[in-house]
Amino acid sequence: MINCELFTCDAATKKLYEKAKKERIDTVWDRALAMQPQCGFGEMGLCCTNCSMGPCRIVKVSDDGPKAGICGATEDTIASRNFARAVAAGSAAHSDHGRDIALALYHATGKIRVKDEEKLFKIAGEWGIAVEGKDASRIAREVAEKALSEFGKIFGKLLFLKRAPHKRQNLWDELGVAPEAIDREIVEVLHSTHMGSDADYRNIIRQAIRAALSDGWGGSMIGTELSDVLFGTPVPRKVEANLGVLKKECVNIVVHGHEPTLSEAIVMAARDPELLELAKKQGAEGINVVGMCCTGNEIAMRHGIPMAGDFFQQELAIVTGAVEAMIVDVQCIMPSLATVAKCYHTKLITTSPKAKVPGAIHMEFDEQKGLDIAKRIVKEAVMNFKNRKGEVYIPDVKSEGEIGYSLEAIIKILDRVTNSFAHPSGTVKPLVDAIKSGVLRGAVAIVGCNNHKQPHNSCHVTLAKELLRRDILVVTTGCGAHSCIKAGLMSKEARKYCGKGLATVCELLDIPPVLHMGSCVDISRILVLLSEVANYMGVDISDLPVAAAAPEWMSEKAQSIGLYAVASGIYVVLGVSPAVTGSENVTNYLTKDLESVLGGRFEIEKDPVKAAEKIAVHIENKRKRLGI
Amino acid sequence: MVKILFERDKCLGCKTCELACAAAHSKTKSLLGAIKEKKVSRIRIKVKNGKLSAEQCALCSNPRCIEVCPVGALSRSKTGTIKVNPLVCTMCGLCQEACPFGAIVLSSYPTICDRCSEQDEPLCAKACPTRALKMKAI
Repeated sequence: MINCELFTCDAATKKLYEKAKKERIDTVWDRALAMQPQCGFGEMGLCCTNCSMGPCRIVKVSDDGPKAGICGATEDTIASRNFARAVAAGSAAHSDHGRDIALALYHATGKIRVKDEEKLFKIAGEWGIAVEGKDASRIAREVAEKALSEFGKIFGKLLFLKRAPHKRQNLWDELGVAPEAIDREIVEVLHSTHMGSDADYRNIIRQAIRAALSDGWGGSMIGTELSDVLFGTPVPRKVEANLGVLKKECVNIVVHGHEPTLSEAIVMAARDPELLELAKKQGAEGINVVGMCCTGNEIAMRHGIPMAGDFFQQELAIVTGAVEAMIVDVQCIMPSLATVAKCYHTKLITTSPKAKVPGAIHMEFDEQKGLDIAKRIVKEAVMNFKNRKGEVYIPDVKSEGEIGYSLEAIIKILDRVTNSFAHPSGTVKPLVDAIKSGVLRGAVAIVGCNNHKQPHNSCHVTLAKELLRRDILVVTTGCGAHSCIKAGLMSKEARKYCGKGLATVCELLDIPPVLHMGSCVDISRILVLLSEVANYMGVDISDLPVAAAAPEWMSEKAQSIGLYAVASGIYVVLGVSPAVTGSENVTNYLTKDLESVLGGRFEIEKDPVKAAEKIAVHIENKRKRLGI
Repeated sequence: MVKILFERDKCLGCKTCELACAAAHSKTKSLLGAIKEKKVSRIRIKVKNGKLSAEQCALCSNPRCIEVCPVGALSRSKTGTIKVNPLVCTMCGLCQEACPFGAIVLSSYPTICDRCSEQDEPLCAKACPTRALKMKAI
């Protein structure tokens, strides 16, 4: 048995891991241990399976081992191709999520009212869609159509690129990395990395950058913006987090995955009086919907639904024995859930045609009949309440925090301290003033997943605390957000971790020092915020005293995010190194040379304390160059 | 006698040796055949105390496995490897427990590295892409 004290800093995780062991359930940590040693070729990015002459592996540890693939591809070619393909897959996942939201908006028009008309009009204005004499539903349809055409339009560039500072847009044009259509950029990565196409690692990474930018400033941004239009733009609210939010006496439904279309419908269905009545008849006190991973972030931000846990807690949620149904859609769903669910009464319900799991019940979700299907799914959970077996154990571990800081919410908060006589409201002026005066040294986005190569949650939390101490504001999304709220960093009491400057800023604005900005597609919110700040200061994003960190990242999506952040001019510190280390050239290109081209670069630093030091140095350097 | 040397610093943990071993002991001498015939590898690359190690018969001078076998199923061959007589073996597992190197796996009978006696050289060493495994005749 593994010593769980070493692999996580989260109390609920420790307690449930022990229950899992007692009940002989294998979890992600046990499988990670059994997987040791992991293949060094894969870890270094030196294994190529792109054609059937392979697999080819470059051997660097002995003199007489092969130094090129059978086609002649070098370590640089192979490592960069593997990296680019991972970026393309990540961009595909985020962007396809965006497409689904756009389709949902398209089909919703005329049937339901969009929640945020103001944002709808704003996007319509940005995209040159005439609004005069049209009702909201017609505008919504036109906006949805325009969004959908972003994926495959024949000419022109992505519309959201215009949100970036002018300097950045010009730089992208000069370098030839401004993406044209989302699908096309992903296809081009797959084409150029096909056997016998691109062999120049710089050019391969250039194409990967296009695919990544089409995620951050394309697919992800469409996903975020249209979700806000359809379901409402998040506003600050209090929520509870961690597995202690499950309720023994209630029907517990865990919604897990990414797309808010499903989770919104489930949340509505769970409030249906008939189903609540049915739950009472089954002996339950009510229906308790909780969210996991990024779906958790989405519904927490919009409805205050409790955040049950992060990526590495998905199996443990079932191990409580209290979950009637785990409803999943796409991305980050461990196939092991079906195996774990079989040991309890939990029903694993898959809903997306893109993600079926053997052993799960498949109830396909369709946006057009959303609520009906959601009611059927919730009924399945309610009827499962009486089937609970074995020991039900919900650890009494939960914390509270304030979440829902969308860009709009942040600007509203900043308006509170804007002098309305002297300055216009609705700007980032107070934030810029705080940075310029030095009360706030800068800002860092801590994002990303969980990875067994790093202690669970503790890297996110340690890094955040180290930054707060240095008067650096932290914004977070995804599983990084789960880690921070669980550690209490999103409560007002967390000011005790801050330096004097940051503590004062938080007090004045009445905000926690770690701002929850949403799910992983919502990193696009951070891009827009940075653009607003850069535009206000008349500089580029790469001039700002900011950085990003992904201390526990694991997914291909994270690689895409990392690369679009770098290409947007941001310094990105990774806690786990991407599979490129087998090529010194590619590693140097990504961690050094890119900075002179794009203003941003990767840094690989496993230790969160050292990462914080490096970030602080970076931020102070940027301040010096700005003369502040 | 054939020794197999393991250079820890060169090993990347790819486990190609394990696949080659199972294939070498299958009827068809192929990986697919080995999987079908449920052949197990006689070498395993593991992480022990944070270090890579190869679990494989070390051809001890006084093999404990032979010593503990209650039915005398294990013996040393002319080439120095440990042979198992499957007709006598009762699958009690004492040899597995006794081996200090964790080199014996009980599948249909105790499987112990035979240094690929029917081949020119051990196939694990031959397959190793980094030459972390090397054959040495002594």
